Amino acid sequence: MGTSRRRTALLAWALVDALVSAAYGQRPRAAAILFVSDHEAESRFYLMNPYGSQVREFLPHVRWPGIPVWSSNGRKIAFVLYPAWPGVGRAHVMDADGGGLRELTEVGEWSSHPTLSPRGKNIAFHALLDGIVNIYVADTKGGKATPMTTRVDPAGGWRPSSQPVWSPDGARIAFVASKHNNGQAARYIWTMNPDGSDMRELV
Amino acid sequence: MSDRDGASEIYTIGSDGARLKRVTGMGEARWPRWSPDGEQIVFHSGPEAGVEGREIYTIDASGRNQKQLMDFGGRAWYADWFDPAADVSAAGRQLLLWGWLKRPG
Repeated sequence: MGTSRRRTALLAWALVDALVSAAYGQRPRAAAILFVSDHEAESRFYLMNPYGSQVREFLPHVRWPGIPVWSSNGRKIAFVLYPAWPGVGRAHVMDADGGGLRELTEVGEWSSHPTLSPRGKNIAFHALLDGIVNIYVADTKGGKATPMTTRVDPAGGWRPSSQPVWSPDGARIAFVASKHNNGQAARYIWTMNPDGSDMRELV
Repeated sequence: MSDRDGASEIYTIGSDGARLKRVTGMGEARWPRWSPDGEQIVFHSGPEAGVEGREIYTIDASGRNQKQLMDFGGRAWYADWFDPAADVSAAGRQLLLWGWLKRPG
């Protein structure tokens, strides 16, 4: 491709980009906000637009959900499903059309705070196993959940790790780690690669 | 989210640990989630334990324009949002460009 054609291609790209941005890029860009409420007895999912209007029930067959997260491509929703409230919940995933509901793993006595990788291929969550809360990563299609945070220095006073959140580019997972000093507990934010390597304390 | 200033508030920080900034100033702000364009944050207010008194708000990442989205009598929580345009504008635009560059002739 010659210089002239390459320049034409770049101009065309800029035009396409501007047109698509004009069509889709106006704030607020979020099409829907998903949330949980029990204002009509048992808790359910609801959707609304970013202005807080057009509130409607969503996936009404899902009873007692909590802590939902959407994959960035919108195809999967991960959440905690409680058999009843109050009760012990477990992390689940399903397709955004309501199909394919399944429990992610049988790891631990309970599991919570799921977070999906940007394309929804993998999921991270925390679970209680043998008295310790750790972060696990698993394939959303199934398979063994792998503990990722067992290397957060227990000898140095660091304790269970929880509340993972995937970065938008999928490259890192942020999480909370607790440290106990002289009976005082404090929580710090750490990040790591999705395979558990390169753990860093942020704040 | 941190209670470093007394009440639970929402903060932002760079992925390198720098530029810590408090966004909310209402007390009892919890469960922040970024909008797909990174310009807003949705969160719920209310106590850590129990579900009474929780409502959903959005706020600009700058800390301005905080607003309650709807009123379910203090019984709404754990919000997250989805933007189909984010997927279209990233993958779709790349596909359009790739198709244009690779077209015959």
